[in-house]
Amino acid sequence: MIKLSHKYSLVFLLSFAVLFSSAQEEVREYTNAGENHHCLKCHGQSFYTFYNDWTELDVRKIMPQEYYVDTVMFYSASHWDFKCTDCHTEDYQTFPHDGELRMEFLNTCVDCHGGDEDWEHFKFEDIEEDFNASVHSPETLPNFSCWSCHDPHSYKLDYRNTEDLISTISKNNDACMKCHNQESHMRLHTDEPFKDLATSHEFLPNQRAHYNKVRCIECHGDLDGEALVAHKILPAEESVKNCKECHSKNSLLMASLYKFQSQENRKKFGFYNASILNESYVIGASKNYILNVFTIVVFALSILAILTHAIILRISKKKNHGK
Amino acid sequence: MANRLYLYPIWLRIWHMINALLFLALIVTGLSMQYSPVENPLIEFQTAIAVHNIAGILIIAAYIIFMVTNFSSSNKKYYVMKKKGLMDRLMKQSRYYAYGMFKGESTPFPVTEDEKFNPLQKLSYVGVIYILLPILMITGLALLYPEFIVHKVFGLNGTMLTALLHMFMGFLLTLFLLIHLYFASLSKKKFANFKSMITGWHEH
Repeated sequence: MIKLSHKYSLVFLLSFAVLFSSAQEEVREYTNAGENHHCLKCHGQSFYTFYNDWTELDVRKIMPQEYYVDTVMFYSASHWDFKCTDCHTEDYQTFPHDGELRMEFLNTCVDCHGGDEDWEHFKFEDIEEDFNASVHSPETLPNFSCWSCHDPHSYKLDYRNTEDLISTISKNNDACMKCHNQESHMRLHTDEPFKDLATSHEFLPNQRAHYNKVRCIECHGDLDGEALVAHKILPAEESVKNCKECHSKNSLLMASLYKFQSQENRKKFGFYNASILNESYVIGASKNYILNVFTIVVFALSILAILTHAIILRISKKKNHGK
Repeated sequence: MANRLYLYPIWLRIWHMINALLFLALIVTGLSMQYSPVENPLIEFQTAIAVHNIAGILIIAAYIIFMVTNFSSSNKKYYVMKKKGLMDRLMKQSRYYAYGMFKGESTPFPVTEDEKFNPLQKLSYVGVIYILLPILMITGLALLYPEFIVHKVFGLNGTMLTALLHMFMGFLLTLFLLIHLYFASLSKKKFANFKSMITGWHEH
């Protein structure tokens, strides 16, 4: 009995140690959390409270959506160890904030990451080049910037996560839907007539399946660009509308959505575009070579058997007549 | 007149004809999507999909009408399989096809008003109507509404499995059609079986 309990306690201790060590790896040292708290105590909540010197009363106000920062998302995002004042002016430290501060210049991706060798592999310059040639270019939409799609307070490097592709696709498409599915957001950038997505994509069979299984940029992004993820968004008339571009053995999805997947192996179970199969089934692209050959061979053999039967029957009939 | 039997009522003939035409459309469009190269398809991809979807829905409707009419008429009796002596009957019929008919023997199970199918024929029809066709139709419908398909089945992509099953059932039924047509041609009088599916009368 004593032996057993020792055994158990050892197992318990070991598993605790494993848990503890793996938890250790994930621990982040939030060096700026204390300082950021000054901002997030208001901006991290949907309501904020302050003391009004004039009325000598505590006042409670709603935090406008555009000034709200989700604290949990912020501290798990790519810029998790940033100080608020790394990007925003230190003048924000006084409250009430000076109205003029809203005119502050805000850096975009290339302002910090451009020309930096450490970030070279993300090809920020190529992204900028793509963006400038896109329908979203500052020339066309002066109010449009990196932050129109990627919220710097929550942006995570999971746009290339291939483990849970469906969730990656959903996050990607959310960036587009923010404006293209909400007229109020669209109006921040343009006065052009708002197009209903369901109507403009009427030609797509199973619209829902397409929205869930592929990113908007598969058809609307220029895949010839150098950026890892297409940032040159094409005008509607230049976007992919031909089903065959994806639904074929040479599916364009292999050059876009599945670009970051492990090396495709056509021989894996005899499937063409095998990596697509992990998450999706694309009619026309997901063909099985072995099954195709098998069915053709069986069909040919069946025809041969029928022909043989017919020939023997004919010969035997002649023979029987002769008797 | 004694040599004639009215075995195929008008509703059955109409269903059979519609079923045949729709099935041919489904085979041709299905083959085009599965085998022909996209760059140079047998039928344009979008056209093939549209025709395949419409024909698929129509063939399901025709199947439901057939089932309802079949079960509410005496025709259902032809699809009842008796277990007792089944193996012997199947062997007897197989022997006839593989040997007896070459010797000029007469068929071991002649067509009567109570039994219009021989044992092998009945087995294949029961298999096709009650097993293969329903699987083909259910998987086809599922592919038409893929949002209802289970995403992963034992770690494998549900839609892929559905599509593979659909394709394989389509293949088996195409094989059935080929064999069906060949055996239909084996009548004493030329095209007699094809004629009876138009007139309704079976001639001995």
